[in-house]
Amino acid sequence: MTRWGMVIDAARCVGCQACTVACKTENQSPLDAWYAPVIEWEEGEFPDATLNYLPVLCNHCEDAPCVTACPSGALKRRDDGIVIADEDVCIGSRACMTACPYGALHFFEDRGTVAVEGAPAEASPSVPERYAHQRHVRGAVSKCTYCSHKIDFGLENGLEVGVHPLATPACVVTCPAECRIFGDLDDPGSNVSRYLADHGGGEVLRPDAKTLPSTQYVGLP
Amino acid sequence: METVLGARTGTTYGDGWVRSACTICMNRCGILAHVNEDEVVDKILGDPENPHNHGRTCAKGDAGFEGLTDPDRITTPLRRTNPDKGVGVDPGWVPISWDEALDEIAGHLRETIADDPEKILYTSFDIYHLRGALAASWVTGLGMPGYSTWSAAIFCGNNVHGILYMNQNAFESNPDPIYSRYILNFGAQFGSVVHYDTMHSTHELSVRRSDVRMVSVDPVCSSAAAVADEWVPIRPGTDAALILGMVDQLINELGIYDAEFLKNSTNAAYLVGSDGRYLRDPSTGKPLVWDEDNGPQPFDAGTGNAALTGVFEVDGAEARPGFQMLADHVRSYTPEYVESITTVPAATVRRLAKEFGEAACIGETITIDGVELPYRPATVAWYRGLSAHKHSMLNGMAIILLPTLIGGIDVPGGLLGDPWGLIGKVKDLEYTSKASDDGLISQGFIGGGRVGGLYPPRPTGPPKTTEMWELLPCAPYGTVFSLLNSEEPELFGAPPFPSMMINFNSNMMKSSGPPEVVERFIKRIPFVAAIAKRFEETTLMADIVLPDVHYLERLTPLVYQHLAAGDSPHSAYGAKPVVQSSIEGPVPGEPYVDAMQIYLELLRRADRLPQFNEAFNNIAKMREPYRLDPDGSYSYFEICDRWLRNTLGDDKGLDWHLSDGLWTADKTVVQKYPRPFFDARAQVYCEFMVDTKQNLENTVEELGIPWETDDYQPMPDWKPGPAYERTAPYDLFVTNMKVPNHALSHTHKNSILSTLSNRHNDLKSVWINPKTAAARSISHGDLVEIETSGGRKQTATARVTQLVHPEVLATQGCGGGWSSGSSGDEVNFNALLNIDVEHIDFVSGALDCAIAADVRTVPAGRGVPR
Repeated sequence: MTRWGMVIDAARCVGCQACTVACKTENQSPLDAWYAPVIEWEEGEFPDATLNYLPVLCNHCEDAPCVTACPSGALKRRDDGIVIADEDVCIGSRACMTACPYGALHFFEDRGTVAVEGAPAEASPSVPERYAHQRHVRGAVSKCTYCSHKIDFGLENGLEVGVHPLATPACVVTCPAECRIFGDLDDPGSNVSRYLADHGGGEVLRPDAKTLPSTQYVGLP
Repeated sequence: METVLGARTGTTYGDGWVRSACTICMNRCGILAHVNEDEVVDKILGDPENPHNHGRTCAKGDAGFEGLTDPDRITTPLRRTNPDKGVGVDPGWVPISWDEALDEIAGHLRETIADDPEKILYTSFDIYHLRGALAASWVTGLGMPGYSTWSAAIFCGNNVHGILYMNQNAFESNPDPIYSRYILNFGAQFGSVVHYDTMHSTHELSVRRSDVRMVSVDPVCSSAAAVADEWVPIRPGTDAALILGMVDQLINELGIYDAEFLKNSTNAAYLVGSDGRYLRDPSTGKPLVWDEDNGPQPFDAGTGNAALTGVFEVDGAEARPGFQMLADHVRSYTPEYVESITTVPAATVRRLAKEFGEAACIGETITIDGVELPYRPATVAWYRGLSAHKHSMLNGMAIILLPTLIGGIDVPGGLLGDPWGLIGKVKDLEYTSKASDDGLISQGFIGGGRVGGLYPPRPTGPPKTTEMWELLPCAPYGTVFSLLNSEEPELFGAPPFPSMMINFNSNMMKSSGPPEVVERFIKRIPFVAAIAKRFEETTLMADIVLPDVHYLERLTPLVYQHLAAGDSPHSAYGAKPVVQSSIEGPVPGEPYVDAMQIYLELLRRADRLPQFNEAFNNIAKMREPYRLDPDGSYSYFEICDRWLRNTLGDDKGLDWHLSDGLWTADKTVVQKYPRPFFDARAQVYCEFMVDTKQNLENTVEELGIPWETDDYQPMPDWKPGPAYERTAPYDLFVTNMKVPNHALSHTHKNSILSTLSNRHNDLKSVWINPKTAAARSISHGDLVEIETSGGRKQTATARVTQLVHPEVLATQGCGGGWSSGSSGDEVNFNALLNIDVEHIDFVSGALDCAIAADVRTVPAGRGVPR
């Protein structure tokens, strides 16, 4: 079986937010929904203080609390391990948002901006927001899909997933520090498995939640 | 209308993707832009084939298509009907035809040229335009001495470009991203996505991050300091003291320096007499060195054993090598003295010097492409942080000593110069450095702009413009003097004031001095034309406005060459129209792709095309059969075609640019690391400053104007800036830093990036150390007012944080403003600057950006107007 996963080498992150924006433009997420932010926090006291960066996104958990909590069946875990939200099925209960320990789900509210469905392009303040109304369903939950549309495209067109830019998540493609590696966690010879092995295994965020994430980290601050 | 578009096929990504180049910041990344079925650009990716950015883009580049569909875009020429100008004044725009607009501007050009072409002020900071041969030819064709790079020119390269020309014949330089192992950032952010060469260096450093030690000396824990191995907080404006303390340690305590390099590739051994000048050979006039075996010899007499240290007697006069002069000079910068100035502990001063010196691996070599080269993997990075100060040039003279002392210039691991990145230099790949009669690197300044070098100094004379260029013999810019002359017209005898200004893609109202100062300056200019995509603060001051194209609609070839030294390939590429602009351009029937089409029309209407054609032939080094006939009239497209073929080969004309457009070439080892292969010398002791000071003093005495000449000295010192005294209540420094998700001022109107800033690096905030906040009863999140000793104010929300020096109020980005789409509640740091003699460096033209300030909470309910 294939289990797509991402390894993030947090020690390499320079906090530039390129991934954050690449995700937004690739997935045309609603303007105030950020599926892949870089969070930051301070540590230490002056003069021995620093700022830590940590890229986060959906953990695509093997035991995904959002899937369990979803009353409508909109949240599903695909056979390849990717957790997706079927926005057409979502009834907007937002139970998943409460259940997820990672804050990885985003409710598409129309906040009354000028961008409304069918509005002319010239009235839109943002290209992703303009297309968000075609790509996403208002009143539904949306989320990081590991750019599953790119993975599916790659597989259909014989492109190597995790290597070819059209078959690799947008955040991975754009990262100037090469923090992110994407591949098959079930294949011991894959790029992700080898990177984890070389670094003595990966860590997960919130291990206490015991959700078995497919997003794993090395070099956590 | 015939369309001219970049090909949407043939790239790695398949159909619908156009190869082009990003123009958002200085880094000129290669991109692929996707056009969807609505003819909307909806995605930008890095061009994986481009060796400059390796298929990566930053947050800014990812969001770069914003603005194409901006409802606030200017779509037609406009005329101002309200004669009043100023902040908040409605210009009363009415649409006019291109003909009417162009004729009026051309009329002003004719009149001004007949009077004095130097009274035309051409302001821009469109780096892609300015760095190409076309912009230089446009201003040269008008008879102007050059363009004027407002905005960043006041802040950034003042102590960078001249210093680099002097010691490595380069305009920019950077640490070696592949071989540097110890990188000292002084107020710079190399290694994060805020500097030159960001994508390449971040990519390279990430791969070998654990082998590289990065240290950030900075008042604020910037994004680069956050990812560095060590953040060394420092009091603003005191870096030179730390640097000279390190130089003292390296020379006088540790004895770590590259003696072979200093003897043979610098002027360190040149003998200096008691008057501060070289001792010269009576017959040849050449500077003397002291040969340990044969006594005094001309520097180029082939002596292999010139003394660096010691005191010698030559014809009865006492003389010391320049290196000995420096060694003596820096002795006063003891670690304890440095600590008292900088707040950096004396032990840290000693440790940094030792780390840097030991990391330099003096004596070691590395073999690259079969050639053995010096290996000096310790280096420095600096730009605005060290440059935007009262004693800017002395800061620059100090920092270049560190790489020079260890021989770490244009060798593996060292400071790598970009000598080719300027006008007309594409494919002029071999490093050429003319040596002066004194054996020194003396390329001087390159370019059609007013960008200049430090050595050789330019002649002095009566100022011809408000920029006082003639009284700034060593400065790269004189921009800030225009503002000073506007504020105090009689101070320097009222030098000629501009009769007209053409402003292109530069929002100088927001990005240079305080808005009210720039406003007064612009109001004094009788006629102002602006070329802009949308109404910016500066556009609102214009008499005539012309629409500009977005960079994804732009055809601008050959200005993205990345020909810096270092072990990565050469590349040349440019921007091409990804989509067709719907805006009608200046030439009927011709698609609108670049502001140069406006300039060609203006040159034609002002009868200056022959001068432009001649200038272009010279500046772009045009050869037959591509040279322009001086009497010819060429379309922009034909000029681009000829320029491309002339530069890259006959098969690489405009069609090639549109269908492919990426040229790469491997470098020879000489192109990668040129320093060991040429003779011209760098400088350790700036002897030329002695005569330059005297000449300048004679000139200003003749002119009868006040002028500061104290900083023209052959060796650097730290001197206190105007805020150093810290007089209560203005006992803090307010400073500014760059952030990775914004560049210059224009990205602040990008809705994706501004939304990101709101949730991430809040640009409305000011960073305050907890101790400072407590002393002023400020809590995190409070609305506070920053007030400078000059009485200028900004409001901000307090971010109480350990990430800032207790004496510092740190602001971010270049936000604020009042034009449509501006975020007025962002802090506009430039509104706090002081335009006065006290804050200007009279050697480099820099403006001090560490401003004495107080901060206090704003009582609830009281808003503070900006």
